Formats: sequence, C-alpha cells, structure tokens
Amino acid sequence: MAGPGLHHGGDHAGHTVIPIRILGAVFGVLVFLTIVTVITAQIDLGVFNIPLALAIAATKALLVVAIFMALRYDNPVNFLVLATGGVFVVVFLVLTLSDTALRGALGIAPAGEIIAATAPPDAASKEHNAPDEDGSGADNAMTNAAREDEPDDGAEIFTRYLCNTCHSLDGAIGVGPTMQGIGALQSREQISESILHPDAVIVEGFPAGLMGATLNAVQFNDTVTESEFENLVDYLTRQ
Amino acid sequence: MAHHASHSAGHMQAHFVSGEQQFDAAKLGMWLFLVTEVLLFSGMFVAYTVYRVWHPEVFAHASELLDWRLGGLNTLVLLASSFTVALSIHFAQRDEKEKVVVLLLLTLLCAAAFMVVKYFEYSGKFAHGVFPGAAFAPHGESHGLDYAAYDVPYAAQFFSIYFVMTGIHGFHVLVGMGLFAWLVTRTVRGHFSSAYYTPIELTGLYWHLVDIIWIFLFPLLYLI
Repeated sequence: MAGPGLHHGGDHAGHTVIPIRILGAVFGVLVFLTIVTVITAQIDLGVFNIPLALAIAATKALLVVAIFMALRYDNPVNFLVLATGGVFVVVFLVLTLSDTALRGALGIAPAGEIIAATAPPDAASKEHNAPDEDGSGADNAMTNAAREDEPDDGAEIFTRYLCNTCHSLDGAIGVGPTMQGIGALQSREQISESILHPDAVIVEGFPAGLMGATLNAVQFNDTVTESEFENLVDYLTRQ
Repeated sequence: MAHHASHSAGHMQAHFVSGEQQFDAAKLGMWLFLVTEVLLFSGMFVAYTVYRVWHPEVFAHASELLDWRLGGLNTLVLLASSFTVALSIHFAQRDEKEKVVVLLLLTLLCAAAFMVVKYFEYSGKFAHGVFPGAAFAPHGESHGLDYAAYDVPYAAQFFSIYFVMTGIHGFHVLVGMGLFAWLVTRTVRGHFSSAYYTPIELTGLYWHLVDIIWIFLFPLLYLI
C-alpha cells in the first residue's frame, strides 16, 4: 500500500530521538525542583506559599510534557488537543470558584428559605404555617418561637440556626431525628458532641453529612458564642 | 527503507496510508485519552480547591498528619520512573532491545516501590482511625503526633479528598504496572523495533501523565 512517495523518512516529527544528555538534564532539574518545593514549603511566605508551590509544580509538569512526552518535537495537533483540555480545566475551576469562593456570608441571607426549599414538604409546611408576607420566613419563625415559649435563649438559638427545620420537638419525624425526650436519652456531653461532630454518631435511617452541611450553610461554628452553645445544649437536655 | 517498510507492514492496518500515519493516529488518540484523564482528575482538583478555600486552616492542620518525607520519596521514585521510560523509548528507537527490557523492568520496579510506600502510608492512617468519610475517627499516638488533636470539624473532608485522589492515582499506577509487565514480555519476544514501538511510546505518555498528576498532588496534600 505504502508507495515510496508517501513514506516519510526517519526525520518525521513523531520519531525524534531525544539525546540521553537532554533526558538526563531534565530529570536532574525535576529532582532539583522537588527539593526546592520541599524547602520553600517549610518557610512561611504568607500568601505566596501556594502560588510558588503551584508555579514549581507547573514548571515540572511543563518539562515532562515538553521533553519526556516529546510534545516539543511532536505534531502540533497533539499540543492543540492538550491545550484545549487545559482551557476546559480553567473554565471548570474559574466558574466553580466564582460561585463557591464568592458566596459571602450565607447567614446574612434568608437562609431559612434556602433550607426550607430543600426540605421535604411536611417539614417545609410546618415551617411556613404562619403567613409570610415579606419573605423573611426565618425571622417569623424566630419571633414565633420566642413568644410561644417563655423567654429562653436556647429556644431562640434552636430556631435561629434552623435546627427546628429538621428536628421536631413534638416527636414528629423530620429530615433529622426528633428532639422530644432527648434529655432523657442522652447525656449533656453526648448532645454537645452530636452538634459539634454531627457525623460521629448517626441515628439509623437518617443521612450522614446533611447536618454538617446545614450548620456550615448557616455558619453555626463561625458565629455561635460559647454561652449561646451552652444555652442550646441546656435547652435540649430539658426536652 | 525496504527493511523499514517490511517491519511496519506487519503491524499496519489496511485503512492507513503508511506506518507513519498509523503511528500519528495512534498518538493523537492517546492524547485525546490523556485529556479525558486530565478532566477526570480536574474534578477532584476543583473539589480540593473549593474545600481548601472554605477551610484553609483545617487543610493546613490536617495535612500535618501526612509525612512529607514519604510523599517526597514517592515523588522522586515517580520522576525516576518517568526518566527510565523516556530512556526506554530512546533505546527502542535505536534497536537496543536489551536496554529497553532493563529500563522497562526498572520502571516497573519504581512503580512497585511507589505502591509499597503508599501501602505503608495508608495502613499507618487506618491504624489510627484516619478513614475517608463518616468513618473518620482519629485516635492514638505515633511519631510524636496526637491523632485525637486532628479530630476537628472538616478534617474528614481533607482526608476524604486525600484518599480519593491518591486512591484513584494509585489505581493508575497499578494499571501502569500491568502495562509495563506486558511491554517487557512483548519486547523480549522481539515484537518491537525502531520501525514499530508504538505501544511503548503510548504507555510512556500514559505514565508521564500519572507522574504529572503526582507532581501536583505532592505539594497540595503534603506540603501545606
């Protein structure tokens, strides 16, 4: 099939024989850069530690691609394929971070609506039985709870951080287990452990990870004070 | 030239104009596959970035449990294996079969050494309750580290990401070991020459990508 006219010689782009000298030099530089990245990681450069580590890693990757993978000597179409993939990685990263890194403080937004919208219908309807004109469902829930119970910081915190969205106080099964009688079932330590590390012990039949994600969304760990936390645990032990 | 043509003719399929064209097509296909691999890992790198931006201090703290000396050793082992596989292609192009076999065996050895180090790292973590996901419950003491001190919120996220990324990377190393073993037997049986060494070239490309993934994993996981 292959006529002499169609057959390329040994100098074809795909068959460049890279001298051992160059391969060895690249290997040496790669080892050197590995040592550099280990040393610079021990030094505190503030915000520059991450960009420097990434720049060194990118330089190493570039050397491997250009020489070891011979892309420098290769058909340019292969470079085009790799570069196209690289563009999509950048798009992936930038678009994702433009959401997650710039969300700001979710606690300021009416988080009650976000959580209620994702909860099953029965839990959501319970939350929204009060007329809600101005769209601040979380605020209404808070004032309602404060009025029903005698003034109690723990009860207010229980609704402020939206615990009540998933955990009922009357035995009804919601997204999470009910808090009715929790004081008799669990010690004070067990209750605070369950709030600090929601996934340490999971009640059978309930999803892991959800409470941690919810607490994260309402910025519980960042905003709750020590005394508020104690009041919350006290409140729960009385249930 | 006649010698060259007769060699490649045995491997050439009817729909290609020449052995060169077949080689170029195979290589283009490999690069397309490598891009899908890059995109696969990029999903995990994006997850890593999102969680690190959210909890930078937890990542810095949790990463102390990873031994940078073992991670650094594995980096050097993989770099050496990339070097040996590049040399094996050099000697395949020069028809020095014995050197190709030795270099491919050295590459296989490096890959095995990488997995042995990884085995000791993983078993050390498991022994102290450092598991991915909900099973995360660090305890005990070792090498002057109090593991219980790392049972902080979101540390489990760091280790889930660590195990998933290094686990899938380790799976790629295992696949590479199988490929190198296969290449050794084919080289010994005389299947390759300067006119046809496509499988060595393509496996080399795959192996370098596995190396590059680790080049990024090492500073991002061990050197925070």
